[in-house]
Amino acid sequence: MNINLPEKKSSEKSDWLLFPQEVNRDDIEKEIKKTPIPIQRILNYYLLTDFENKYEEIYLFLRHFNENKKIPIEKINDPIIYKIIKTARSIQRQIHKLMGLLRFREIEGGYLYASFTSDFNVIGPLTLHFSRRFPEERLIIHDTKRRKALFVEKGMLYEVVFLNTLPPDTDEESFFCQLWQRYHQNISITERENKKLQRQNIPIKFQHWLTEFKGIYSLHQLDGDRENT
Amino acid sequence: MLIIKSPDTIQKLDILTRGAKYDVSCASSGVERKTSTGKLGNTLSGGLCHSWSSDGRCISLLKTLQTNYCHNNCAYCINRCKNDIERTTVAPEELANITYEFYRRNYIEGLFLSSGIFNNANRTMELMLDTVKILRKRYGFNGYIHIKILPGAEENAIEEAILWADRVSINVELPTTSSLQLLAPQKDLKQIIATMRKINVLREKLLSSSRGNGFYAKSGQSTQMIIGATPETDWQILRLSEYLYRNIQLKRVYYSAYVPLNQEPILPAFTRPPLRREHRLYQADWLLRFYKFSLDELLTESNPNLDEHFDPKVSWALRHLQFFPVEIMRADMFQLLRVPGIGPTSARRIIQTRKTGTLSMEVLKKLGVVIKRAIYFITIQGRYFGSVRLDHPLLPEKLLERVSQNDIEVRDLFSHEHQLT
Repeated sequence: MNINLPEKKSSEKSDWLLFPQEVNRDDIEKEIKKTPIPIQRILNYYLLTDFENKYEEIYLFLRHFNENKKIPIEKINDPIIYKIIKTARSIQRQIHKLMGLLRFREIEGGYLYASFTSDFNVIGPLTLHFSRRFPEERLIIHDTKRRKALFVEKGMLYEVVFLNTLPPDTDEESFFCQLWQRYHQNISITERENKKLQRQNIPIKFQHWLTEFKGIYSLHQLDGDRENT
Repeated sequence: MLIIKSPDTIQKLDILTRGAKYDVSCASSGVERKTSTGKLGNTLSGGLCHSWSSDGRCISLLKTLQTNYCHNNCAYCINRCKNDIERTTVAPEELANITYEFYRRNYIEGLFLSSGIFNNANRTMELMLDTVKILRKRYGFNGYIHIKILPGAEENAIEEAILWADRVSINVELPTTSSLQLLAPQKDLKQIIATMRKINVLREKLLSSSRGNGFYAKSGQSTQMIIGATPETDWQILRLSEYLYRNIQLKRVYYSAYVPLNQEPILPAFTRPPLRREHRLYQADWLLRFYKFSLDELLTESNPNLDEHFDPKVSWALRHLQFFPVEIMRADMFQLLRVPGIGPTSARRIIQTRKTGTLSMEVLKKLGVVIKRAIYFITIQGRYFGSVRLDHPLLPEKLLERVSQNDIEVRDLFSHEHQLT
């Protein structure tokens, strides 16, 4: 399992900044596929970062791995390997969190539409998850920060661009939206209120696109509504 | 598809959610199930949280009641028959539809369905089962369903619940027969535990005669105990938990800090819920399940309550200083798991990583060890890194971060004077 890349004479760990030649991205991706599954998983997550020299860093990771055939956690003292493992873990965590936090809206034409923002380019794994979860739905998932949208129908995936504004929500949409907002308020136990813990679990950066935090009703207002109806 | 959307749906869900929220169970974990064509949804073995409410608790399932009418009069419960509150019932079709619409918008991971007891337990369970069956059959719902077994439900209802749900549960509510007798006279602790056993038996029976088209409560049973409404000690509470884990293979016991809802002379006065105590009980519960501790190591009948200031593991360590320091380069899994600040994951990583070289504090930190606790209880190749010795009288203060290094040094400087006087 050797890498078909320019041989580096020096095996110094900190020489990655001095790369004389650019590494070939396709070669790196091919090499990743040859590694055991747990390693592949770490490196594929790492490819979702926006770091400019991620391919060079992965090249070094692969070189360590191919020289030692060791699970990389044993090399945790190496700054690049540590960075890759640690970042891969936080990407994995963010994907998991967004799998829970994405909110779909039903729009005219029979689509479910979700927009979100994230620190990493995770639209791919997210879309995969939702296409498996909702095999009968037509889904549009939109990363507004990276201006990228994917459309899934019957297991087929398309990258799409918006030519026009989105169709309006269906008639039912605002009803279920409101039902969910009220549920979210009602399920909380007032005597145990702990907003700090809530913020720890849902950082503010995610709150602004979450249905339940939009135009927050207080319970007091909810009761007022009811009296008026 | 028929969309049921009456103006009072909103009010119904309001009332029923307010009646359901004191049941703290919300897990959607324990089953990994793929979806198939024509179906909706899948489940993940680790579960998934979808939101967090303003009390900081995770929202994973749509947790609600079928009805909040109830013929029981449990003193601690908001829905007891004596309370003058708005009552309502949601129709199975209506609730199934809400669950379906919530699920496809990715608000929830599934349904947690409980209920007050309207007329009799079996009739109410039939309504609940109708909801679940509409979801499973008509909507092809393949997500997570947790259904409560109502005390007094008959065998056929329990069987159906097991068949269609991923998890079933029946709450013991209070840890002793006498407390339950006092606060919930219609409930009987021994009967509840017998029902848990029966659930296991029925589940085995269903699985062995399985044609593979059910759900079989694969993520097992859970239960809940209310903490602080009655005078039981932590030892009594955890003794029941340990029994339920070891003898009835329960997956989870939930502890719910008592929230005063009703004015009753037999209940404690209106106070803040004992959240710290609840937290300590969960920590001890984790030690029983994942850290190979047994209950008599943590608590005894004569020392029956968990320490408020220290987590139960630090508390054990301070009582067993002879066990420490643990040598990180040689200790086995059992020893590593005893060290405050080291958990199952970091212990596994330590064993894996030390094969290739010597560890350092820095590496331990990267492996996920909580250094500020662990440092006093370990050596690395014989070297001790703690700023005070393990047997120093101020170690507990140091662990609480109540005392500065300076204070300790000054105290040590003059300590011989105390001995002289």
